[in-house]
Amino acid sequence: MFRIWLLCMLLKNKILRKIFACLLTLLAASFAVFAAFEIIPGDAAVSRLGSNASESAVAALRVEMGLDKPFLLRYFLWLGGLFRLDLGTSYSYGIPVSEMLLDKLPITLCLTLMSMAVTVAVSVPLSIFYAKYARSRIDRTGYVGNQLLMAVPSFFLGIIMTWVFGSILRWFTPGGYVSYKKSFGGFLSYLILPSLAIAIPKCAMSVKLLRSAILTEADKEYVRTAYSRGLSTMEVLYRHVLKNAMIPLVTFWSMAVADMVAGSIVIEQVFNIPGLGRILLTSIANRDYPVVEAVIMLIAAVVVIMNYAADLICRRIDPRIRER
Amino acid sequence: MKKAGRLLLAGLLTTMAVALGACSGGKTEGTSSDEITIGIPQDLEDGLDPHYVSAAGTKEILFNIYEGLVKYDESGDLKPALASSFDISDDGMHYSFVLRSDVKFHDGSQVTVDDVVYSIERCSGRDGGEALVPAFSNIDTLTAEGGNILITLKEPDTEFLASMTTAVIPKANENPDTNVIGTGPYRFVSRMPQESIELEAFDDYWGEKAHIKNVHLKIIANPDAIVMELNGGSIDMICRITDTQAAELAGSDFNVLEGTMNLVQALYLNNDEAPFDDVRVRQALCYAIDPGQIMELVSGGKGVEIGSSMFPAFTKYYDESLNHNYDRDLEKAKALLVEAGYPDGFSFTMTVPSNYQQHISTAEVLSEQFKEIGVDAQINLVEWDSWLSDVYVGRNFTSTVVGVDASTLTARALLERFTSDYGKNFINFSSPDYDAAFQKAISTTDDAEQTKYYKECLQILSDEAANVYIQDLPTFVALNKKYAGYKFYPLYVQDLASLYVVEE
Repeated sequence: MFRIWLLCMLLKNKILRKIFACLLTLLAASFAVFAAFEIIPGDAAVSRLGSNASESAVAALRVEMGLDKPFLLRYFLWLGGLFRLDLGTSYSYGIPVSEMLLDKLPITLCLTLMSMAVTVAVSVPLSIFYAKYARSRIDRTGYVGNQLLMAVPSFFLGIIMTWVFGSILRWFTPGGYVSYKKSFGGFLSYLILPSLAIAIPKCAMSVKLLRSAILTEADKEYVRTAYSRGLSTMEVLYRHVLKNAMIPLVTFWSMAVADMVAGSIVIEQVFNIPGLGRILLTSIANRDYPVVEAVIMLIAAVVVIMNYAADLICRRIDPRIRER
Repeated sequence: MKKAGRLLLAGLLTTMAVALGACSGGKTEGTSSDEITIGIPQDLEDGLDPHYVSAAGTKEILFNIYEGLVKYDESGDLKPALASSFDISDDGMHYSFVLRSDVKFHDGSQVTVDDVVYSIERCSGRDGGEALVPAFSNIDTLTAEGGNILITLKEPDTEFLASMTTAVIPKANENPDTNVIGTGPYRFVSRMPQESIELEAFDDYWGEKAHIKNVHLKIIANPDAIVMELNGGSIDMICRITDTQAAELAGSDFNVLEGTMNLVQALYLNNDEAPFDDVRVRQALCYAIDPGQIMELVSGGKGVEIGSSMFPAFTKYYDESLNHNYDRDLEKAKALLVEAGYPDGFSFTMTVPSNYQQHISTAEVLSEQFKEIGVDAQINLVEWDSWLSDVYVGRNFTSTVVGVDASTLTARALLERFTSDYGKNFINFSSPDYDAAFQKAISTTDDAEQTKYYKECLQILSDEAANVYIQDLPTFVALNKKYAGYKFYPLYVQDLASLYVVEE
């Protein structure tokens, strides 16, 4: 009785309720991933042992991998491991999955952070600039360019960049990735072009959102009030307008981060970066289930957490949302 | 506002300029003389235990790290390796090897006969499991005397020597999968999954030492990036590029070397599945195709035509006349179809692994050629893993375009798979004559007689039209002009120790 009461009380708390919903989402995602591998053809044991393996060797490996157990039992065993932070051992490499993820995570994380930094650093001043010259010629030209960049997919930009900066201008070596363990500077400099390729379409989208948000806010009455209180344009912009105009952008950015982590699969392939995306792709091809499940759970967690974070930030910025 | 905006923009531009400047700083400098970076298409994903690995791409690299008592040279002959000499009794029953006394493992310990016995026993499945090396299940006794290893077989096998290329690993090593200790010219240093593998020349190697000290193997997952990476200087060598890529490298810093892949590319037919359970239908398909045109369209006219399950590098068994068993004859093909009860043709599916562009292109050309006799061939692309489990192991297919290679350089490795009750007979070929000829070939100890029976096997495969045989594909290796010494082998290996730096 007490437990149910406690649960009800907890669920009344909005933040806790949200966390509970997040966990449920993750649980559903984990089941979906696990089930997906039940359906697709291919056998991890055959994949590992190849075409020359005997049937008994394959059968023995299936037992060793635990693949002979029924589906639900395997799922719950895996889920149990997840709670103990034990992600299992990679079939292909024989090393703990957690170790592999820790190796690869910094790569994708750096790429995401750099892309995000570029997006924020470029889009905010640019939006203010366009908003300032709203409906002038600069704004209109900018608008066309912006629409164009918004429509170009990152991987295509990546290919163009590799071609222009790598093959023609020779500013960087295509595929000349340097491990962050060897040289962190070299590693970061190699990530610049990929992060630009990811950031540019996101930038364009951010500019579009923020510019129109600023213009909408600028027409509102509180702006006139602020001006009449004797504030300068700068003060009005930064203290009032921008704060309100940021709300749609925060939601977009949070989703952009999630999108960048998930989208690393594509851009890492274009620039030959051995990050999370690459490990996910090859693990799917090799039926290295423990790795695939761990990476997908990680991506799912990022999506869910970013969603939640956006919600929290918006609540902080805008008290009206808190009221609802 | 104006000022702040400008400041921001200026700051931004500076950041970008610095960033792009740093970019050019990241360019790799020309490699120094004692190292080479080699691109490989996939990581060594099936582990590093030499007795358990199966992927050709893994084995070809491990060739440099592990060795057996004997080893192949570039002409396909077995040469003494860890054994200084060997002796085979005339009846093919007794094999004896003298172990070299000066061989060291990569960890510095001496190679003893115990290690050799341990390695052979590990692969012979004596502890109840299946033999990892099938030929080892034929071992009756295995004894060590002083520095000699003596093996007596249950039944004569004149090709047993080929299985003695099996890697010798230290008995003391409990975890060969991650603790890599061999005796080869290169020793394993480290690896980063999906990134790179580092090898280093082994100073205490018993034979001719490797010329280049450090070898970096770099995984290039995106085949479209190969030419760019070569020209950009991030890799010095890569094997198995396509003829289009080879053409793109003309006039660059690279030499393009040409060889053959040593595999039997064919449209493999499921002989149990209608309509291919009828020999006339299979023959009709053979008459319908033109291998010359396929080679022209798929590999720029390079490649060698084949007429049975044997590639030309096996000069001993390869019989060119079989190529003309089914010279293109559309009328004959149509007549055979009528005879078999398919006057209006039929339609079937070719399952093709999607990671092999050459096989896909071949299937496309085949499909066009079959149209001319009214046969409609659909192409079904599948992932390599699905191919392995559904087609190769499950035998659940109608036909498939793929290349089959020889796991060891013996005719047996290519031909045993077509005996009726063999576990790897994925095309379900069944012919009592074939089984008899094969049995005679493996049981005789006379070399000339054995060759005769193997050739008979090849003749039967061709006459029965077991598969639609096409070609041995060409292969191209791109090697930076700074290096030389690349050797093509008639089997799937990369001999890194033979590479050297060209003096300028």
